[in-house]
Amino acid sequence: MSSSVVTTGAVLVAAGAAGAATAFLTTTLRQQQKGVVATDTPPAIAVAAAEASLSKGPTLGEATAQHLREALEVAKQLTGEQKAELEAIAQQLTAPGKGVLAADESVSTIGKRLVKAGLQNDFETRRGYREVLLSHPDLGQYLAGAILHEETLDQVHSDGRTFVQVLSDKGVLVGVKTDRGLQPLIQSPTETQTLGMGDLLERSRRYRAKGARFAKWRAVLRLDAAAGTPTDAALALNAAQLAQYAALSQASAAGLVPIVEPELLIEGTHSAAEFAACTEVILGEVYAALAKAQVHLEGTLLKPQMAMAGIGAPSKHTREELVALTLAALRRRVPPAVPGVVFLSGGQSEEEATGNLNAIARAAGVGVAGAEGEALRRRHPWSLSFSFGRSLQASVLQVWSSGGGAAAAIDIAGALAKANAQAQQGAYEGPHPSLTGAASLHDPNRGWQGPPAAAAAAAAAPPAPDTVKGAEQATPLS
Amino acid sequence: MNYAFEKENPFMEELKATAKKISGRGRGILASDESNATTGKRLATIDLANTEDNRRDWRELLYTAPGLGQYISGAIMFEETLFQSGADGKPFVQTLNEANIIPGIKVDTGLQPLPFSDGETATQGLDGMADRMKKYYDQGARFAKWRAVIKVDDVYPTEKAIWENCHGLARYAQIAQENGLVPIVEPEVTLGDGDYSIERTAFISEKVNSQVMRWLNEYNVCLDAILLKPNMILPGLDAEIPPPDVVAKYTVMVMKRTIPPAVPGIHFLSGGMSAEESTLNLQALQEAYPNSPWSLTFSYGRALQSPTLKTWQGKPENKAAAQEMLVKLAKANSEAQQGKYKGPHPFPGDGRILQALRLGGAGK
Repeated sequence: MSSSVVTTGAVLVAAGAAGAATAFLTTTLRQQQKGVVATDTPPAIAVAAAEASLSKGPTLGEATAQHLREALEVAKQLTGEQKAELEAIAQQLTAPGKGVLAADESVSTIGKRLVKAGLQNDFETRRGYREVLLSHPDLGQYLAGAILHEETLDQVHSDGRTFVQVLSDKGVLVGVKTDRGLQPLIQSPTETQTLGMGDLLERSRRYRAKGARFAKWRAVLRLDAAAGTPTDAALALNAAQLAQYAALSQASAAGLVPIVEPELLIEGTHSAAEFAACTEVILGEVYAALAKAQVHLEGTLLKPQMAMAGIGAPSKHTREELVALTLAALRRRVPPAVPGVVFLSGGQSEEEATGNLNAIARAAGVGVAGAEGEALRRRHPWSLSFSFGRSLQASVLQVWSSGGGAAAAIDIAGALAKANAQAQQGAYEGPHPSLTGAASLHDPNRGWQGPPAAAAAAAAAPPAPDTVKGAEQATPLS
Repeated sequence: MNYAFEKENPFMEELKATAKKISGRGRGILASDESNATTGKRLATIDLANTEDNRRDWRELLYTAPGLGQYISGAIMFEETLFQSGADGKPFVQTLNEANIIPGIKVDTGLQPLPFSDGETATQGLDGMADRMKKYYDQGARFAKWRAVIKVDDVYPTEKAIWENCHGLARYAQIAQENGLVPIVEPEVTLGDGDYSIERTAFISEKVNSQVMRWLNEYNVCLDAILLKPNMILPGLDAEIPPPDVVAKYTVMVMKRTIPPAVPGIHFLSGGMSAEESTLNLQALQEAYPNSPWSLTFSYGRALQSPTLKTWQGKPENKAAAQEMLVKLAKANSEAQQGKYKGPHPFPGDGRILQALRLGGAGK
């Protein structure tokens, strides 16, 4: 991209007109590719707009305070009856012996995986894939909930039932991803905020009307000691956004139990201990924000990452380290009022994720007999389970995309869910049904294009066919 | 990052072990750290002069009570007492250790009014505290206590008062851990005049607790090595006294929402509750949350001392009976801590003690 286009984009971004900047960059780049726009003449209109809005836009601190204020306004109005209903849903979601399937990948994220597996990223392929994921007859024994993408809420099984109906018939609660992806922070481009707040209440209400009972919103933090991230400001902003999302989700008009997901990325060279220390800082900030906003904790869940050494770290963590550090961080920051913690699987292989969950369960006293088990369970008052995406899906996609057939793919979806349900009880024995072996399922910069250099490179790739029904934002950052 | 602080602190393992031992189930803390002025007021109620010997005799009575260590895991002392010995010449620190009771020390130097704020206070004592703590550790103290007081009614507290008190607590706690003393963190939302509701107290206590935790985290205080000393949730003094199960319901709700499991013990203060009320409420807490991650236990001052003092009357011939009373009270609360208290209470007649906010004094 020419430097003057980048400069204009940067000016717009610095003026707080991030949305306009994105649109400008996207449009201009596509036009450049088609030879429409000369590479060194920024449109005059864009420059004028930038100058006009130079003084607008809140600082991160102001934005943070506003999120918390708005969250509190909403949370204060929750009635006892509404709180009771949220608590009941949360209890159902944390039923022993079960967990959550995260099948809510955005169109572009799931698209990348489908394309990598040799498939098309189109509506019907996505529908067919989700069908295979949700069809196993025994899923209700292993899953308390399944998080869907907005698109999937409207889709229909080949047997005529909606996917919502399919899940309800199995006794599995329907959840929806309600954020609209990540956006880099102007003030700190390797860090992000999460989009989607503007019409969140209205969308949540709509999703509930379609059968959803819980929601999920993903905030992302990046640990990079050399770069000084996560910065206090980014952390405070993301925590405040999580608080507002939680309050809006719980609000009477919406009535969805919010899964609060402050994901600390595993990219980096940090040790597992450093990761855990950073996790403590993040969780402390998140629960301080939720407390400030008076979010009803008993009607929320937490979705954190297990404590791991960075992808680029000189040495990997042991399972014992992961378990000890993860549980210590939770004990130190998560109040007992939170009914459940559901781990994301991040870049772990299917087998690793199950094994780690099993070890975590046992270290928390689940499946451990006698006084020792009792004492351990006492120390860990929230339920501990899974909210796995890739670790419940990789083998399924592999079978389905390589011509293994729907039946075989459905089988393995069930087997993976079963293995993790066993692990939740500290009773997993193996062998693991995974077909992807020890292959890491790590997706770098999942959900966004990563830091600016990476973004430019990614934007230079041909855009994927966009045949989405409904209002999915078509920006390179979602 | 906080891990570095935790790893580099040579006292860390001892701190965690001490916190674990003090908060072990079935036992609680005897708070006997009244300042000389406050102790004088207590002695005056039984016509004893406020002399060093009388103060020493009174504390000796408490610490040498036979069998006390079965029910009491720690005793908080005032500075004077930490350096005192019994009539037999044995230092109190030694007496306590032999009785399996860990010596603790009050380290704040009292309350100071916040300017332009009707009755709100800040707690003093940070200046020179590290040096004093080194001295106390050398003398044998292994835990410390700092009392922050937050006035509550339908109007108070102000955000400023909450900030100031939580911030002070966190700074104190950090310095304590650095100097080998387990900090008892006491954010007392004080039982005061007025008929404000139990919901109001719960709301404010929740706010205060979460800010305390927030500040402790900011200052890298290791939560595995602190003890919390909060108030139970009660309405104003002019409101009807709620039954124990109601007190327990609100108290447990507030603690669950704000105190992470890593904190080994929550030692409730008795505040303005009567001795029997303190025991019955403690029992109800166990029934309300039988598998609590933190010990729900006590750090009682007047609830243990007041009946004992009344039995003693300053007379040597009553000493044994007074000690017996103390141990009976401690036992009742030990049973209540385990959810096993049945009654009758050793001292049921002791009415509610009105707690006035005394500026410059220690209160309980």
